Amino acid sequence: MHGKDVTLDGVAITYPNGFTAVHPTNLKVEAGEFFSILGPSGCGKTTILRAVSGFVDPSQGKVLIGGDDQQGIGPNTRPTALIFQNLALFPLMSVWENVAFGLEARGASKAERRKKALELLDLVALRDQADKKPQELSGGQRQRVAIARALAVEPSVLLLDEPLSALDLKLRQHMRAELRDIQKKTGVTFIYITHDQGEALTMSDRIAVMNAGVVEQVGAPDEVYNAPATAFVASFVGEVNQFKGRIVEIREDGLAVIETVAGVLVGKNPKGLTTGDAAILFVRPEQVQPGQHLTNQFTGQVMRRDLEGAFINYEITIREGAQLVMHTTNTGDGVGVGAELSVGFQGNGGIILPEGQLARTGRELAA
Amino acid sequence: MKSLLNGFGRTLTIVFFVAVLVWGLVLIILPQLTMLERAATAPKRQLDSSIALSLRRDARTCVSVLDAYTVNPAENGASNTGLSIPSVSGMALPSPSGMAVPSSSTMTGPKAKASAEVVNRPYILQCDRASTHKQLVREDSVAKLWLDEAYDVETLSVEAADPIAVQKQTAEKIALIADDLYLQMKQAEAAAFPYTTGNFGKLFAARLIPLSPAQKDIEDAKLSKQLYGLIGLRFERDGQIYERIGLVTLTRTISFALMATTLALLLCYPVAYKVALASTPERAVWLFMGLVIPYAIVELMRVYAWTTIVDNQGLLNGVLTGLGMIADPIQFKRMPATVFVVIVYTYVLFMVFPIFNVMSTLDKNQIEAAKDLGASTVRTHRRIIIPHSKPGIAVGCIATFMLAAGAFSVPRIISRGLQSEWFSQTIYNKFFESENSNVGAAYSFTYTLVCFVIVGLFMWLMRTRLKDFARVQ
Amino acid sequence: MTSTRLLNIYTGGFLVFMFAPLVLMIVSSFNNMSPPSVTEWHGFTGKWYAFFWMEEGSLRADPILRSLDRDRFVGCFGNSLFIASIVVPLSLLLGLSGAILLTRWRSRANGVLWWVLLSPMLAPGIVLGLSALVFWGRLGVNAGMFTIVMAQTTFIAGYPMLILMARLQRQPVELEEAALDLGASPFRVFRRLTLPYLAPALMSAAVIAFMASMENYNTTMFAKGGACTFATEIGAMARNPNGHPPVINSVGTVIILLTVIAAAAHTFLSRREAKP
Repeated sequence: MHGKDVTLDGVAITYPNGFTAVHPTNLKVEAGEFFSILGPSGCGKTTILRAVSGFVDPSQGKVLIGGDDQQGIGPNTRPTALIFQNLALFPLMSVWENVAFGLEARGASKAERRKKALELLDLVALRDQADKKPQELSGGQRQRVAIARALAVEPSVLLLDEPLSALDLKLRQHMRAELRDIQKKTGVTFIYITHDQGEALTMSDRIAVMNAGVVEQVGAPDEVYNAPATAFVASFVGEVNQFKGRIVEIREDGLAVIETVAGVLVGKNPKGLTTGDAAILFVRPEQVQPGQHLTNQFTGQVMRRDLEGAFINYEITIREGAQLVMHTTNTGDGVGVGAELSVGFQGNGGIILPEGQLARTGRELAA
Repeated sequence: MKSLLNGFGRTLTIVFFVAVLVWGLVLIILPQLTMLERAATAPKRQLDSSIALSLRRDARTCVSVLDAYTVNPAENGASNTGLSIPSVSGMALPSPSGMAVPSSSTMTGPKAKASAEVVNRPYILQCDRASTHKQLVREDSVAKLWLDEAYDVETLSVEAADPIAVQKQTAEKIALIADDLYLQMKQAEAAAFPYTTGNFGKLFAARLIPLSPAQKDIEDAKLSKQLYGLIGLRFERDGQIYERIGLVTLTRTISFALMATTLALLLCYPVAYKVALASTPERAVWLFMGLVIPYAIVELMRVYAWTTIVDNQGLLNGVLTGLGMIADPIQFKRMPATVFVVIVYTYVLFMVFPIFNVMSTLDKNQIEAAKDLGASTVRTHRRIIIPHSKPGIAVGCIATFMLAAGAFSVPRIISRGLQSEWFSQTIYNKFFESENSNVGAAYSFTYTLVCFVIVGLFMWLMRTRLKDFARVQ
Repeated sequence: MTSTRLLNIYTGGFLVFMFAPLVLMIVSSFNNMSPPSVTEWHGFTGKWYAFFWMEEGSLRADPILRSLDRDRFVGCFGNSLFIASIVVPLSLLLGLSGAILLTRWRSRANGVLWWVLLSPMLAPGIVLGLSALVFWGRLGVNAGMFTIVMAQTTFIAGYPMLILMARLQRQPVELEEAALDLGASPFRVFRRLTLPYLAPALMSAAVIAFMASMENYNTTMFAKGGACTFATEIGAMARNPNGHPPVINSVGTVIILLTVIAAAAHTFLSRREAKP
């Protein structure tokens, strides 16, 4: 099995009802790469996946796999295999028949099919379950059957549509590692769709972050997390404090000064904003630390304290209408609710980006 | 379309489309259009051209019969009685087309007899009918219209008193005139707009009801008759009672169907509730079976089973006689109420199952939650159970109504023709007994339309969509 | 408590109402009296059943039974089976096609198609029989078995359609997509996935279509011309104003027995299936 690269060349997708799910997009997924597309639900990531697998035709642009234009090639002849969110295992067939279905469609003999299916079930450690029905397996086992079934047709590109979302936390974490292993072992290109940034960050070689049909940033997990390209990426990937304001000064050292409700703050200026621009300063809670003499220094009152085991999360009111969230390691000497606290962050701990659409917060989602 | 092609491939997609097309067109739409056409066409024999045609036929037959008579008068004279009443086609008449002599007699018997006594030939029906002074059929049959007057042709008829040769001549002349008229009319009729609403008009036509004064008083006192009067289905003119019979039957059928539906709903709701929500699963299975078995038994058998009860020697009469309450058996099959009860019995289960199916999808926790929050039983039903079951109630009502309104087996078997017709029987009679299929088609079309309008209104009121039918079944 | 009891009593009453006529019919099928009665008991007999297999000689000897035309009855029953054997597969094909188009064909015509295909189920049965009679008559086909088949199929095809549609809607489209994605041809997907998935629904649809065809009276009466079916023959016998020998009661009793067995078997099987 060898992975192939996948290229989206100006692909745009508009549904018959006029809704544009994907705006013109250029994207190149390298052969053998574990590539994730991360975004909130409805951002168009599944549509891209369906365009690659051939269930949706792009309204504009081309999909190329291994350099070949896929125009006019149906899903049953593309070198891709799709793993569905609900797995779509065939309920009336046994596990091995499920795995062997792709071979059956290719006209392999029954003995051949069974042999190959058992090999693949070996790979996912399910050989002893071969004659059961999918309904009789546990969630994780079904997951692995779906993977074996997809690998049976020896695809060059495996497309995964949030396959872990139905599993519980522990199992999900275990399956992440397992998927990663299978990808390494087989060398197949994985394109993984998820709205869970944790999944994307832990498994991927590279991540594309999408919002409202547009790819906002493509990069390695560290890059996406530490150097977000847009306000949306900063707010969607990981937790972040955000302070809206206006640039008041560009400093010699490349940092910029922004005036916000929390006061005048200093942060990195990767986008080269100039004085007067509307902007947002983002700072990760782990960049915030207790102490004095920091570039951005506040004193505030602890409003909430959540113990998460190894970490403690504080919500501190630093000014009328301005809160700051801080994550510290639990060293056993934390303060309680109501305590006064001196906190702050360094100049290069914050990042200033042009104003733009933000990801919806938990409170907004709940509303 | 594309998703179908992708999902099923070209061959299967074509098969599906062809099958649905055949079903939709050949089985559903075209037959209905043919019915509409039939309903909008005037009955054949009423056309003026058909009258001209029959006149030509009569005249020609008259000529050939006279021919046969002149060739062999003695023999014919011997079998005088045989010829005097030419009836059905069993007789070998040398008619040119070899066609059967029409047996229907619109003619007047006594007059024929009177003339036969005078003359030198036996009575020949066709010669008697060969007259250009023939009545035309018109919808408003108040003033009589005659062929010779309407089309301005010579008034001719074969007079039995004339010499045979003259008779033959006249008959030939009549045949020529009729032939000419027929061709003219045929052309005119072909050119004219072929459709009429006359058949639909028949539904509204009023018919005189001959009643003695005593009967009239009884009839007038009846509530149903008063109601008919109120909506113009019954009226009095010159001391005589007229009724729009077709419309009366239709109204009666629809009202009975509506009442049967209401009664069925009232009967079924508690049963559906009991089986769906108020029983342990173990018991619900048994109750469900108790409903399925009568539902699955052939409809006709369920109807027939009632004859054992309502017959003159049936259970009811037997019991009543046995108790000494009555001397003579009550004629239950003459009572509209009997048909009504059996219709409710036969179709009530079509109400139970849709309601049951929807009701059983209700999460029982909702009922408990409502009770827990202090709702009374009535309120729980009104606010939780009934709103949830609404699609089932709607579908059940529609199914029951359509079955009751379209009922044919029940009134046919239970009443055995001994009481007022159900509208479906009226249509049956129009088609198969009075052979007036054009009017029958018009009736049937109106009937469907009225039922659909009622169902449509009901669906609109209940905010039901057609798709609920698929969900509820 | 009282309202629960009231409901129980009412439900019991309802079931009595449903079963009483049937029970009376069964009882009178064993009464040696014609026309059937339950009030006068003339002794137990099985001859109303034996009618169907008794020898010609003993048939002629019986003063009541000899007036009945056994061959005609059997012939009409055969007609019904023949008609059902065409109506059922035809209805399954039309119903399946309709169900697939209605659930999978995203098109503006969808709403119209709903109305057209469901209208025969809503229309009075007699109208369907009549329109088949008139339509085929116009094409030169005389009323008979053919028009009965056409008229019955018109509305019976709706039952499989509704049943299959319910099932199709429950099948996730992903299953078919997954199979296509694995390289199966659409036809293979249909054969290996869709049909097996629909199989139980097709079975019950076939049973329901068969019963609907056998028992249909209203539509058949209008389309039958000179032909007869089981239902029209029973209807004709039952209409006899002087009452009719309880032979119909015996037929009815057999039908009830078969129905009870089938319902019990179905309940038993589906319960065993539900308990894994």
